[in-house]
Amino acid sequence: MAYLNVIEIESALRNLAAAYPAMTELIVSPNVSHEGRQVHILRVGTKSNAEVDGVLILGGVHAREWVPPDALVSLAADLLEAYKFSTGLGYGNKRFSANDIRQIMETWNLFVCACVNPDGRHYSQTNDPLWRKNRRPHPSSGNCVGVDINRNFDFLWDHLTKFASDSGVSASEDPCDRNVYRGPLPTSEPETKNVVWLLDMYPRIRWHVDVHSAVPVILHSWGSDQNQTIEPIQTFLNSTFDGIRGRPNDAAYGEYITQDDLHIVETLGNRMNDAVKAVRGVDYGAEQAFGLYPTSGASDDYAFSRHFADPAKTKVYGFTIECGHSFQPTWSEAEEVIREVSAGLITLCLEASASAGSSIPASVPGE
Amino acid sequence: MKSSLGCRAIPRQRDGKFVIDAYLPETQLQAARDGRTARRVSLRIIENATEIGRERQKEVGEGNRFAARGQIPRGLGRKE
Repeated sequence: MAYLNVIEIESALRNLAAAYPAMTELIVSPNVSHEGRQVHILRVGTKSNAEVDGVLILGGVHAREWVPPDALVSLAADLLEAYKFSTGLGYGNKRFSANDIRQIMETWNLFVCACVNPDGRHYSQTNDPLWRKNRRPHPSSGNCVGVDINRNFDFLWDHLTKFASDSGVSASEDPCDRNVYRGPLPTSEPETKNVVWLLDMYPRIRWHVDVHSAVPVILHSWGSDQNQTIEPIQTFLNSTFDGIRGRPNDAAYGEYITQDDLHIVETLGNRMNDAVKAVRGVDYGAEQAFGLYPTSGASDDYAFSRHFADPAKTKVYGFTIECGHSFQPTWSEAEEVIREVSAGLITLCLEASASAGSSIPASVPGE
Repeated sequence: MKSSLGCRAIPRQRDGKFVIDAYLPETQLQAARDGRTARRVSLRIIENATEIGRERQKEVGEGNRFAARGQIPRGLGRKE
């Protein structure tokens, strides 16, 4: 076997949809990439969009991270085949029963966007292997190409205004920044727009997992500052804290999250990690996305923030799985990482069903 | 000097130390060594990631394994 190229990813999703028409829907993304590529999203599940809740799973946001798109195609293929033949699934030492698979397929919709950034992946796989961004042309025909999709979402996007100047926030306004250029405007990129469109179009999506590599680690909200559950006024929406947020270990600002929400994301993160670890013993760990310094414009924070910015929108819990130990492991190692990712994502669906089910209120008590 | 700390700057604890992967152009390695201000910070070169990436490019599919509609992808999970 070998890593999937971008044409193969699209064909794989198309063929899965054709082979399992009663369990899938092939969704066409509305925005083509700068190089003219159109990605498809495979909805996996036996119920309609209106009947059951959804999980949005992203791969390939960062071009050089080659394993996640392959992992998502593998996961979709596994679920469909196992459901069709009423089998369970095994990944290393982690096993899921046929009943587990049936539960997922009949009570969830998985929206599998295997390769969000096909232009970047193609460039990484054929030219510069460490390319991370998309392939947005330089604004004045210069050599500086690309936007970091995971800095382009409309969550504290203007890092120069929103964060303390000494916070070390991981974003750049410079189009020539090789890795973390945020783009000219929030949601300026077709790849970003496609993700936003999915969240808008399918309001029963309640969970969002952006699969990246590598650290490894499983991350939950927030990435903008250290979490706190005491001061509701300290939120990304409050401009009073512009220029203050993002410093670690200070008392001036912490990103507010309710105790209930924190419990949910910590619990689900730990459950996913337990499943990942069961595969072959690798302990990813689960922790808050705020690490050494903050991030702005990331997909997981954006997904979770939508409900707070507009209470009419569904609350979507956001996670990032940073899988494996390198961007481009040998294929044999990539297969092991794919098993870990698969086990983690299946567990998320099962545990979300069990702990919160389809009845998670759009607004939890105390908000 | 600009280094990349990967997706997110998440340090991991290993053998009682905090460890983080950083990606630097070769031309900046010496500057990184000279620029360390904390005595207890050590810098260890792990690999040439670009070189490895070029090797891995040989492990990318050529053509289209799923060009035919009947070529159905199979996942890596054991069906049991």
